[in-house]
Amino acid sequence: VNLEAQDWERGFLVATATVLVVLFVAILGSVVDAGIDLPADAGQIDPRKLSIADPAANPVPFNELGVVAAAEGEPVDFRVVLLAAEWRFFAGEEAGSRGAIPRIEVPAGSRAEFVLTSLDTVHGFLVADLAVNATVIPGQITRVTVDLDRPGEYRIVCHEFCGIGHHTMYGVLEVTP
Amino acid sequence: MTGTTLAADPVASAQRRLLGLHFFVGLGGIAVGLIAGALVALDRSGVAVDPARFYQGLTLHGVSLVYVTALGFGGSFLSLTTMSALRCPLASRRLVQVSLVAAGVGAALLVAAVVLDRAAVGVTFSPPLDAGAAFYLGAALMVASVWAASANLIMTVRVWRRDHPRERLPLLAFASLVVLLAWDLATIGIGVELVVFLLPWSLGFTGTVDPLLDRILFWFTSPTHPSFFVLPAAVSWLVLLPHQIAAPRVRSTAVRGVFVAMMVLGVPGGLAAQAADPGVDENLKLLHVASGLAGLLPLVAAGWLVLSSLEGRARRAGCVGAVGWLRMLPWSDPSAAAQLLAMAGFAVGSGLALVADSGTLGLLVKGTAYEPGLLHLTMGAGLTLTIMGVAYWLVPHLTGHGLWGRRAALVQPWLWLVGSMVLTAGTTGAGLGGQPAAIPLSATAYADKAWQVWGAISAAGGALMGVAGALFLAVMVGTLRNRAPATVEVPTGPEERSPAWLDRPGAWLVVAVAAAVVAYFPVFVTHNYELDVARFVGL
Repeated sequence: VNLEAQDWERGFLVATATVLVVLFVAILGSVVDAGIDLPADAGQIDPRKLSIADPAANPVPFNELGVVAAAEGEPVDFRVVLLAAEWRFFAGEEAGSRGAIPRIEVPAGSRAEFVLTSLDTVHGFLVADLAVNATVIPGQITRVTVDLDRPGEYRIVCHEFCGIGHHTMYGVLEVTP
Repeated sequence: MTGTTLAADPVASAQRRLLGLHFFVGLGGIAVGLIAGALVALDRSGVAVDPARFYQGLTLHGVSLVYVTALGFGGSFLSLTTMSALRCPLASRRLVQVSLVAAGVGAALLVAAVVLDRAAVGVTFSPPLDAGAAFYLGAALMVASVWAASANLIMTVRVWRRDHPRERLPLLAFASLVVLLAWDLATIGIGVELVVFLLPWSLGFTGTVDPLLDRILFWFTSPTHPSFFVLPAAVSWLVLLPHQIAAPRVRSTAVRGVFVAMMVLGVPGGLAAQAADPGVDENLKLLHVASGLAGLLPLVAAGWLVLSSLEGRARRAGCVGAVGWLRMLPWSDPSAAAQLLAMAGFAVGSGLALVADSGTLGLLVKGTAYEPGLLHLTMGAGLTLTIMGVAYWLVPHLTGHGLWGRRAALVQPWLWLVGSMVLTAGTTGAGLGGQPAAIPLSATAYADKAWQVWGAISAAGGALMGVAGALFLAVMVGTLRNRAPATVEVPTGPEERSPAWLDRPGAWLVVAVAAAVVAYFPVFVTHNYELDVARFVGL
């Protein structure tokens, strides 16, 4: 047995473990300090009680779709409430009706919360350029908070396979100056 | 009983024939997977592919390579290695038959369900998309096949222990058993998902499913570090390869420690893959991320052990210099070359996977093409190329036919690795550019120009893999038809006596179960079971 190799081995493993610990501390730091949260448990909702045609009768918060102002004192400036269903994101009539690609306009320099759920299959909600990445699961409410700093047009896509029209499911988020 | 008498033992020979057929079920999965993969490559190269066909092809590609090939290889290969290590037939001929029939019928059902019934749901099953009962039954049978094989191994080891009370379990048998025990524990996830939820639901006995619960069960089975599907390949890398190429053997104690650590740290990392999911507590996700990172340590240790053995072999041959010994590796042996390249690809893929499963960092790439990109190095290079390398000695061993087309078998691993690297480079580039994973580029209205360029690179890599795969299948067919006889033995050799605490797979399974309970008990307790979702038919 080569003892020198065993010494190297130990040193190498300690170095690897150190790198992994540093990485994990950085991940914790991004959550605790930088406020980048993973989507988590934000409540449940019965998808059979949801309607796209008549959202006013939906349970809160899906009774108002699209950009909804937040109340005074809330940590966000407004919410973007969306329903995902094969194969569209629905943002209410102002932003786009069934069959159209939703176009959501929001002001730059604001803090927004996206609130979503699905009416049918599992969908995804990816705004790659904003590092917004969440799964939209029927029965579960998805909430993601993001700072909208840079004006521009951002692409929203479904990135969770949801059936034959999966690749047609997208939208546009326009952050206006 | 010695090795030669095992070869002559009629019971062992009959079992070997059945296990050989089982192994060929796994190889059949590679053939199907390659054909289906060509459809995806065609789309990436700019040819318009009907989206329905594309999703069908994508599902067939993943399902055949993961459930048919990975599970079929693990069940058969680890049974053969155990038999060889213990120098006795397996305890139950019936279980060998059950395992083979389950794998054969399961594979046929899975492929038929996707090809004929268009069960396009992807590898993750994606409920509430309904893939049909035949699909779920097929997948469940592939899992049952693994369970039957592992039950047989447990019985065989028990008999062997009774007959050899003072001996340590040989390393090869220990590693094989630990991997199948790890699979038993992990596959409880998809086993329950398929048998308790999806199958009755698809048959109409229950009206609804719970998609989040099903996702939790799926990822219970499929942690990233270490990727459980790749574990049988690690048995070949750490235990067989050093003997195969006459390298200094790897310390048995260290290898046992590595496999035990992989089993214990694997399952508690499943939620790291669900970083973007709602309905799961954030702290629990971070706990699983930590466990997944810890699971990288045994992988790194394994890599170190293999590398030091390989380097030792080259140094013994008189090689000097820091990297010069790499050229002295047994590149002229097709089986060794394939496995060396497989390990190289796997190492790069594991590095990419580290990003994807690092919680908030992973949000940059989760669900994008980055993920299938790295899978072509961990599963495509790491596992599948190792299976090919193993086949280069195992098929001659099983059939007594000499390896046919040695030159093709020598070129094939290089083509495969370069192909998988190029494919991953293209797909990773597209993923970092925000392309979602499973979309037919040719039909996607919002596709970026850059994605098309990355897609063309992926397609070129896929084409190389296709050529390499065809070469491999040709070598296999040629070998089966080859009349030149050959006697190839399972590569084994002496080992040092390991401490007793590393000779107890059952005790370590208890530790692994405890770790899984600690990690998942809060998940299952806090899950809201009241919400069920009705059925949605995919295509």
